[in-house]
Amino acid sequence: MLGGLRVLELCAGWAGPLAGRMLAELGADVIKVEPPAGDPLRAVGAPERDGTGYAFHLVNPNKRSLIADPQSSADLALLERLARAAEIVLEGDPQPEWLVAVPRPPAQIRCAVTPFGRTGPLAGAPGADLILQAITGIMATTGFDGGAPVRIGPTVADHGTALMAVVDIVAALCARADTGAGQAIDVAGFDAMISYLNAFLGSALLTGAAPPRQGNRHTSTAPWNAYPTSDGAVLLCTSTEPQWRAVLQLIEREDALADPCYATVSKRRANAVDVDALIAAWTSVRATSEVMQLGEAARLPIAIVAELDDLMHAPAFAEREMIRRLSVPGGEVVVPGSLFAGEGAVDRAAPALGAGGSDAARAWLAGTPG
Amino acid sequence: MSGALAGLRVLELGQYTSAPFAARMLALLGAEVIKLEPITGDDMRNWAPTIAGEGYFFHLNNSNKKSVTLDFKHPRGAELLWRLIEHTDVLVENFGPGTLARNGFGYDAVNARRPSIVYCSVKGFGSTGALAAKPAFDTIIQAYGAMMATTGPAGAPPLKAGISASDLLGATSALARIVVAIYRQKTTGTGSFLDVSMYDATGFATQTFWPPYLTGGDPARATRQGNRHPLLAPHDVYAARDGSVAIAVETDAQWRALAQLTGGHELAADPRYASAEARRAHADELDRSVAPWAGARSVAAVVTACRDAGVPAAPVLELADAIEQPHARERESLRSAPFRGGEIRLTQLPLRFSESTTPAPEPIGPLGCDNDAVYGTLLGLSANEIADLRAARVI
Repeated sequence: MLGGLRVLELCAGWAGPLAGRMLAELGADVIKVEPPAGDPLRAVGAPERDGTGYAFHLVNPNKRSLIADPQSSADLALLERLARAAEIVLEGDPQPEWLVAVPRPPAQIRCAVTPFGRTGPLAGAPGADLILQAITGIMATTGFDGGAPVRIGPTVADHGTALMAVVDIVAALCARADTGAGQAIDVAGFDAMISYLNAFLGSALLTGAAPPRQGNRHTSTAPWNAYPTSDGAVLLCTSTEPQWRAVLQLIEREDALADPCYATVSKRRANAVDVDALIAAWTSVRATSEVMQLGEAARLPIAIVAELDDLMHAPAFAEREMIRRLSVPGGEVVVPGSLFAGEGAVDRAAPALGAGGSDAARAWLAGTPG
Repeated sequence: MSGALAGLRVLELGQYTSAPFAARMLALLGAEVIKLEPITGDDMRNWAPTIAGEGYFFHLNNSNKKSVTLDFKHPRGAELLWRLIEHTDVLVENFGPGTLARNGFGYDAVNARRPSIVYCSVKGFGSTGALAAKPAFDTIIQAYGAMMATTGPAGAPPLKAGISASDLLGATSALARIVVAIYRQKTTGTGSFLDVSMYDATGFATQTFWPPYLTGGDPARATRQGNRHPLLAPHDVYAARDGSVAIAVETDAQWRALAQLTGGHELAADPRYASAEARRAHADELDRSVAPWAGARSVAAVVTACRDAGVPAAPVLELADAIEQPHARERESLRSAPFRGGEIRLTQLPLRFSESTTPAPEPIGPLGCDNDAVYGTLLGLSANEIADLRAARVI
């Protein structure tokens, strides 16, 4: 969909390059500029068959790599020409000094993807997924009752920020289609994560105190928890009145339907300890397989918690092409597929350092003044 | 300049978080968003905690939209929905699997009447695949997508992300896909069907755990490990004198800077810790070098020393402190809006455009408050016709 769009990626690490990956999946021509030593992410994770660290492969498929050292005057001249020829420039922290001196062409979209944004007291401070989860209160929402905050394992800040950057860049393309004008965009992981606090903000704003960490319960509805079975646990989540009736029918406690303590979803949430005890009394004397079978037959949202191994072997995940095997010199590397099914594809492994970038740069600059 | 998506009309047939969150962001990008609610309203309108008697969570997911009621299962309601669709550029929905198709509003039928439409279905497991028919909520997807399995202390039971991370990642991926499809619509005139899966987005986000799993390394690195990272170390929360501090070393240079602080030149130059893989393999040892250093200092001193050295660090804040910190205030992460005689604080679009404008957050009105404007002005129904529809409980 973004076929041939010239994207100059001037950032390293996770969030910014992940946004670049998504643009590349959509067909954009992404040149990733790397210092002579390479993006530090190349050194993270066990080296794959091509000698590149696994982490780099995850977020850099479909791109081309250009080595350029802004300390060298020849490289700097090339970078300046590319920064004028690009339709989209993705920059990170620290902001490249040389880029500040290259005026943004009127139709260009220049997007900074950084932990804290370009304004505010923390602008420019070093960040990472864990740091953003810690400082925005995302971690504080996660943890067992009475326990310490714990990070969400999947890097929700890096992923949320990258997706938000794609949204903003393409929204700016839409605006450009109407007006012909590009613009600068300041995407901060900090802002994205504050917006993700969502359900937790109400009580914090109303009372000045956040709701306590609540393990696997939901802020607003019940029953919603992991329940013990005789050989494990199942997760059961409900929010509607028909689902509550179905739960009571399932656990053979329809007498509780008349109990005023459970009359609305908010009352059930306020009495979640009692609600959960009703359910656990029934699940704990049954095997997981039986609880799952009966729960699914009742059309209730119910699940066994999948370990990573289960996900990687799940037909549903594979059918949606979320696991991609890409060729690299000497073998293959496995990376997640595209979230843009039907419009995007992950089909080329991340480039070796310097691979393909010079040719791409020549093609960009063909016919442009030196 | 106006809003990036000015002039675009979005019809949201949504409830809970995924589709409403995506549609709200479209409204903040400048689109006109009409939220169609059943005549009893979105379930979340009453969810606690409440402000002026209305659910706060509902307002966070639904500001800057118009509220219109419609029973599209009523024959006259179905006719009205068709007329609305004729004025719609983007339709976004998150009903249970197959609900809209059963009622005659599946993509094929809608596309036949309105070929340019962008039609986005946000489902727990997507609209195709082995689990497509399964009912889902956020935490069900966190469970299937291995998010719970990779969250929580090592050795403890799986733990859900507190925030509804699967809803939110699903919503943000829906939003990204919608905006891409709008760009296609603008530049080529063609419509799209977008099959968005919260499961895909959740599984995708587990990717940092894939390398240890797929390369057969230490199995403890391919599952929940508290605040550690499967590929990086030091990466944890440390007890400082007066609170907790998170430190995350992502690069060799950051490691050398931190080691310089905690153990001096000797530690920084230690070849045993020169690579990320080696550091992760020695995470226990490295944590033993960081912990006493952090423990002897205040949170502020640790964070300042790290930041000055270029090492990512932050206090672990409780949420109420997080949203009132100076950076949040200066970035205007939350903005006040007039609300039912008082005011309400709402999140805003999490980015800054230099040119496109973004509307200030404005709470959605009471249920059906925009019926007259939408059915009257947009569809051209008379006041009598609208009153009649209301009396027949169609709207």
